[in-house]
Amino acid sequence: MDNRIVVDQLTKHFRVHEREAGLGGAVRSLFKRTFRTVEAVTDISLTIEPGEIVGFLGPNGAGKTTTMKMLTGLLHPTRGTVNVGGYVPYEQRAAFKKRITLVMGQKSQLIWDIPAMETFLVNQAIYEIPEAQFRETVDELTDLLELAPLLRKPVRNLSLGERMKCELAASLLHRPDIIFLDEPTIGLDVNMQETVRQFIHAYNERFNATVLLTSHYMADVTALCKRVIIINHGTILFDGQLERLVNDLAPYKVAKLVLSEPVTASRLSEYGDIMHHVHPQVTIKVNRSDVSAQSARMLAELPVQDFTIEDPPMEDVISLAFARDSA
Amino acid sequence: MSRLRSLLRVYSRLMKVHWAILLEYRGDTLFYMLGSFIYPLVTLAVWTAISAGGAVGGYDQRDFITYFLAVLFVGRLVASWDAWEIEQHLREGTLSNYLLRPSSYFHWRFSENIVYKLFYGTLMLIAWAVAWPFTDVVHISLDPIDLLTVLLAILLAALIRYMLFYAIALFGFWTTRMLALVTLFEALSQFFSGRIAPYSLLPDWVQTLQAYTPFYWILGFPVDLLTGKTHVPSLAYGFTVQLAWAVGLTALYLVLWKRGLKTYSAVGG
Repeated sequence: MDNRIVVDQLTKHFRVHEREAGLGGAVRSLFKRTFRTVEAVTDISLTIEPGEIVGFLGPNGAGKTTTMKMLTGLLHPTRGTVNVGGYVPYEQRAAFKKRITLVMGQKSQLIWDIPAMETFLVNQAIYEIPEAQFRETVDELTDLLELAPLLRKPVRNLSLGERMKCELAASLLHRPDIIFLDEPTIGLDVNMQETVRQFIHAYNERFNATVLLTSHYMADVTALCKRVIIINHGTILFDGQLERLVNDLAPYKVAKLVLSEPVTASRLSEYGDIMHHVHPQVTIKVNRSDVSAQSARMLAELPVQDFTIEDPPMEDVISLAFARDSA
Repeated sequence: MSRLRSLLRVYSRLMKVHWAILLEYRGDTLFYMLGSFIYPLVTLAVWTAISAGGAVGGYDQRDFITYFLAVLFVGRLVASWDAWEIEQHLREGTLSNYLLRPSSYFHWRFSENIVYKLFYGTLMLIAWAVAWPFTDVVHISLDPIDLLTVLLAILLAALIRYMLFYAIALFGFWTTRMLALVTLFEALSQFFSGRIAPYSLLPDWVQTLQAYTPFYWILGFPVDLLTGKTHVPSLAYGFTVQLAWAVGLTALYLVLWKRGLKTYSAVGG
């Protein structure tokens, strides 16, 4: 069974009703409704191969969630074609739903007032998971995510991180091979974020699952995705290897120095653009093409106590992509 | 066959879940039930006062008491509140959670309703049985045929009421003011269903409209059967009209659901 995602010229435009604020506006809108078309997503084309983990990035309102909703069948596209694992999502076939899952960091499918185990059992019945496979999967997930102490507590008594772990387990009980993760680590502390990342990675390896992930945390993306798709204003800005994104958009590396005695800014700028300079710390952008030459020069000519050179932070690279888009 | 077995498994699991939630909120549930008794009891007080001087339209004081106890009993058994839940799920976009899973949202809702009805029904049957030796106002015909007839009428009434308000709730796909529509129907229902007064006391034009609105069939009909004062030409006629409403409203639900999903824009998050 093929778990490829193929999207061609996918477009979603919403017609939204606009209303002026206040009572007057409410009354006027009774008689004359004004509509405005919001172009949430326009002509998106992409292919995700089986087993790939792809990061789907963009600022709020860029069209990520709208795209995810079309890929999972919650939204009918205005035009264009979607094919997910051989199915047309918006036909909402049961066989399709059994192969996918959507995990939303900000929304829960767990039944609030009772223990998470009850949701698991509901999913067992709904997804028609055979008893033996269900037991095995629950045991496995309990192990991986350390769920044992959580499963018998009412969901409302769980912390955000604990709930997310149960959420992931509930979403993966039926062993979907196409996974959509919408901000799965939002609001989690650093340790919990790491647990979730490792878990997603392990699941992907084990089941060769195709994963599309959105996140505002670059650490999620750099840890999991070789490939990223960047979307803004409903269109794709970049689709390719993470490394290429960095090389293309940020043709520089960042040199971080700790100096043993003060050096003037004019002298430092000989080596590249100064990003930050508060003695004794200096951060300089160095052209990718002559990183080694400049590094050698700095080490030889400056009173260097400590020296590192690294790629610019992903956040900076992404904002460069958006800046280029609006320029 | 295996599809049916799978559906039964889903229902059995969902009902266990709803039972667990009901137990979490057993206090609230009980208060809702007692709260729902206030309206018929107040109406009853009014009618007993009116009929103190003698029978009104064929109902004496004892008849009124039996009538409103039956309203209270049947009213609880045909109750449904899905419109409010559906409104919330539409407004908050949580309906998406159910749409992503390979089991209709309807099963989630319907199984909840069954659980609450079984709960209310059991409590009220016990109360009725306890009251039996003490007062004859709770005495109804215990003939098995009569009881089966009443049971069938209540089941069909519950189905009509359920599908009617479920279908209205689905207008929430197109308007954010769906609850206003629900409230309007509830108000009409108060009057036309026999909740305020027995049907034979209502104006002639209401009685003429009887077959053309679903309201009498939601409450008045089973109550009249229970109290042994029917106002329909024949039992067969009554059940045919009930069945027609049940089928028609279920068809309406199916159409609205299918179309609604197309316009559903999965708001939020």
